[in-house]
Amino acid sequence: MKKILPTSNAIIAVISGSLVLLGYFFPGVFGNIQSILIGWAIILAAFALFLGIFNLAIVHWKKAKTTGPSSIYSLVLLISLFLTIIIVSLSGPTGSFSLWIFNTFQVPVEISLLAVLAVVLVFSGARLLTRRPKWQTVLFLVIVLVVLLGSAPLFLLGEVAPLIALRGWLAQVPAVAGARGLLLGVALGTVATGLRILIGVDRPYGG
Amino acid sequence: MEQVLDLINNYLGLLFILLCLGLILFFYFSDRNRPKISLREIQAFRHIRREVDLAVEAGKRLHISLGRGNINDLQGGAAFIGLTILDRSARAASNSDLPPMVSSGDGVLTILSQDTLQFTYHSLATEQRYNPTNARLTGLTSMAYAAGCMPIIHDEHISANIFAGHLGTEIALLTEAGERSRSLTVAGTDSIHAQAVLFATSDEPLLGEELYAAGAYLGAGLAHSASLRMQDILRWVLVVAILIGAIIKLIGILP
Amino acid sequence: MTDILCPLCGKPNPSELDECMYCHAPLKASGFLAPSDQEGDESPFLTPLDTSAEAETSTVKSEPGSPLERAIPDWLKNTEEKFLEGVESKPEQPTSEEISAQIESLLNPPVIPENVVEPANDDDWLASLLAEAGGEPLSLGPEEEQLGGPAEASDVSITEPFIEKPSDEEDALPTQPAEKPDWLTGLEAASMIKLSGEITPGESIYAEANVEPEAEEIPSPIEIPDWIGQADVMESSPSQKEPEPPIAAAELPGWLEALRPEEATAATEPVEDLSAADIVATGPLVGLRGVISARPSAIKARKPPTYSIKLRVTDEQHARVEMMEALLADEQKPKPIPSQPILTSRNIFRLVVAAVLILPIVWMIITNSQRIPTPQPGSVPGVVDFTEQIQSLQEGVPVLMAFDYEPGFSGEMNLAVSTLINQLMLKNVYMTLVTTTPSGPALAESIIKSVATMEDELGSYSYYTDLGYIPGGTLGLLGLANSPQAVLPYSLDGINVWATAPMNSISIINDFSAVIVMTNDPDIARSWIEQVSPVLNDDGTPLLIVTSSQAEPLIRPYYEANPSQVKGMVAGLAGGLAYGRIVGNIQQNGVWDAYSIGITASSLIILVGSIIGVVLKMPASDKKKES
Repeated sequence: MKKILPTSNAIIAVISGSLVLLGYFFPGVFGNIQSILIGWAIILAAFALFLGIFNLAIVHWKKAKTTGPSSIYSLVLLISLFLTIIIVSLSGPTGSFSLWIFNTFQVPVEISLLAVLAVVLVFSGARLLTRRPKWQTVLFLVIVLVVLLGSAPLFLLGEVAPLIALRGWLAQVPAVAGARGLLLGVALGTVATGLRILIGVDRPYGG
Repeated sequence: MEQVLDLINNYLGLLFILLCLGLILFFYFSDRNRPKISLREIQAFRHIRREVDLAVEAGKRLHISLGRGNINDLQGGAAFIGLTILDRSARAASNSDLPPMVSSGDGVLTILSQDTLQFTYHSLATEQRYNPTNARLTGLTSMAYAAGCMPIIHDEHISANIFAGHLGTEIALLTEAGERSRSLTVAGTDSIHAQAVLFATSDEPLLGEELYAAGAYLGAGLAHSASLRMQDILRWVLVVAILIGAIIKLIGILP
Repeated sequence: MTDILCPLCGKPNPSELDECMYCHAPLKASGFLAPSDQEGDESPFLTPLDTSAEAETSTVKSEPGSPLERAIPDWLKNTEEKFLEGVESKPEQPTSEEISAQIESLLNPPVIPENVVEPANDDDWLASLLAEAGGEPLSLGPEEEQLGGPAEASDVSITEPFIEKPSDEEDALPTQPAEKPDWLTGLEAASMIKLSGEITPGESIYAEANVEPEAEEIPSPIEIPDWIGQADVMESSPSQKEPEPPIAAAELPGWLEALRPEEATAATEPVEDLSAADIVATGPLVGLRGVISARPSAIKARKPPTYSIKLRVTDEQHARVEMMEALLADEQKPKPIPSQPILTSRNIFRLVVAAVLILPIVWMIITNSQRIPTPQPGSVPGVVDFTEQIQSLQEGVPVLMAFDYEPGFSGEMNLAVSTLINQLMLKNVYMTLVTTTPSGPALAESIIKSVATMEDELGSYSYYTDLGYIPGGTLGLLGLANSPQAVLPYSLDGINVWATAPMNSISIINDFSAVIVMTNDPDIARSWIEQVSPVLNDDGTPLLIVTSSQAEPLIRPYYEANPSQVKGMVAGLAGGLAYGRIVGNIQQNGVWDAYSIGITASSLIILVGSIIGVVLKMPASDKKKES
């Protein structure tokens, strides 16, 4: 049984992946089976989301039972989770109470974290040359400054046309070119990863 | 001519995939009897190996974060690489006092990371070390995911953080948390913006497709080395194809 | 009450004890007495018979369990018993003359008869021993007699190394054989064995010393083994017989002659004067003089002394040892991680950066500053096309709107999204809301309600439907593109909107009049573009993008491509303001000024921080290199 289960998992993964892939290129032949498999995958993804939330609750339940500095935060999380589930279940996902929770807690917290992110990025940019004193770092910082200064009119100085033009060129030519190159490499890596799974050599599902 | 072009356009992708598959299989079987191929030095992977050993010695644990990429999307490739890194790190740190902690921002990734840990410990005959709560979902949105990872970095005796998967600009918050807790950060992502952030904030960033070479550098198997060689070859093929296409377009052959 | 000294540990013990109470060594078997018993210079040989008898009886009646008692053979015990019975009846003390005679006999060597050939000088020791053996042995105390018995005579003959060569004076002594003591006579009489040619009993050394043996009562005949009786006969015979002719010198073999030392040294006199030496009264060396005393006073057999193994350590060495012990103990203790101070230079720098960034921005918002002119629509790519596409929508048509941006990006995106929704509401467009992020439905509802409440004339806008979350990411988009009803059959309210107008006319995604994707993630935008636009382009349904400034560089190529896959785009805060400016919905609230000052401050911080870092680090690195 120990050997049958991994083998069967691998067979299911290989066959399913192959059918979905072929469905892209031969929709007339494999289109239906592809739609069915995609539907099953969507349903599984939804249940996986639920299982992930359940796992989150268990983790924080265990942390809340222990005595420590962060146990109180786990308790707050659990209380918030259960209250939100109850309220949204009663009010509906777009009910007034649900939207009140969303607008009062989630949106401000996430915006605040994004603001902190902005501060962190500025702080890291200021220390970057100290951490990595290389010519690549200098080039990086120069481009950062040009893009920043060309994004909006400077306070008290207004728009600086050369900066705006330079920023436009940098954003559309070198940046996009580099991004396209990186994306091509990422695509190659993704194809290789997918093919390793399709031929059953790589088994992330624990087979 | 148009029909031929349509045919090529329709099946070009399939041909490309078959070419990739053929190269992988070719290198897989031909490298079996060859000595280990030499790879260029990537400092990040050397640091990963070193940090695993240091974590075992110091009695601390690793934090491996798989990002929030959905395996049904393009980000799934980076997520699977993260699972490979998780498997190799868990094996290397199997005799550590504290097992590695895994975080993710997707439900499917959480289940897969639990499965990977369980299988790793089962193959090492150390099932008793498996704890399903060591792999956890930290948040469903980018900021929630980052907010859920930061307590792990601060409170769980982390010696090193390995971020491998689809992560956005929120990774700056995580690298900052790692710096505050004096733990090393090795990060790789498929997001362009996040790579720019990693260059500025991380100790050891993995840029471009260096993340996808993790399996070959960490000894995940011959298939990873074979696929890495395939990527190198096809990269050059694409470069040549782009150049030729640009030249043809410039000349005016193509409309 | 006399104490007995233990022969092993030397500690005094009561006389009634058989074993030492300290070391459990046998006491009375050895026959050693405490020195207090010998204060009157009385040798144990000369102790009174009554006391000796008592001691003997007590010794005889001693516990059979003592080891020395167990070692004594039964025949010897019987002999002692019989002897003691005879002795107890008539205990007599030897007279002083007899005592002195005995002593003299011990001191003077036996007189060799004239007819006895003197042995060679080298054999004097042997001859003396033989002569001694022929004499009557000394009378022993009762304690010694128990153990010594018949063997004493032979022991005396063998272990008497200090018998001097008979001197002239001794030669002058009469050669009469000394009279044997009665006890020995008794033993001989009891002996069953009479050897031929044996030495007649009665001959003893006392004969030379003119010491008459004590007229002791002959003890009752005792059954003794033959060899003992034979030995007695042999020993006593020389004293009773007439002087025998001297023993012919033995002919030594040649090899033995060769071993003879060249210089035959005469037997030297004893090193020390043994006349005052004590006579051994008990034990196997009974009757001998000059024997190393086994008394505790001479040889104290005691436990070996224990020597302290404590090292002599000086104070300095002691201090060093303590230091080493402290070092080793500290190695095992986990060192507590020093707590990081809160106010470090890094934290202060962070606070300064945050203050320099946040304070001006807040000031601009608070003061509702509008110094900076808003961007022109023509200067922002994609805004004009976007506006045209929206303006070309007809009233009441269904439009698919994907709310795929994070709540955290609401600050940047809400300006353009709210303007867009406002425009769609004014056109009475049927908005069909979908999302691929879990927080999308709430976000969509929230912004629609907020826009609706802002515009009083619209009231509560309800001409829309929220189909909710599409799981599966890219796979879900593919399914939505091909069959939206299959992927999202019901709205969030549980209503089958596909059965009613205007949704009943929708079968595939290009039946919508427009598809507007609002996302901050370029990957989500690319997924929509790559999965949905191939289906849309067939019928010209525009794909419009509202995105953040970080994704604009990656989305813009799709917009600028030919044929373009994106028909219009609004990117970032600038695009939102430009779009608002076109449609006449300008709601700045100081946002653009705050954005401008934030950009300026960020640039300055990065520039100054980099310069300072380089300036400060260069001397430090130079110092490192020098060191």
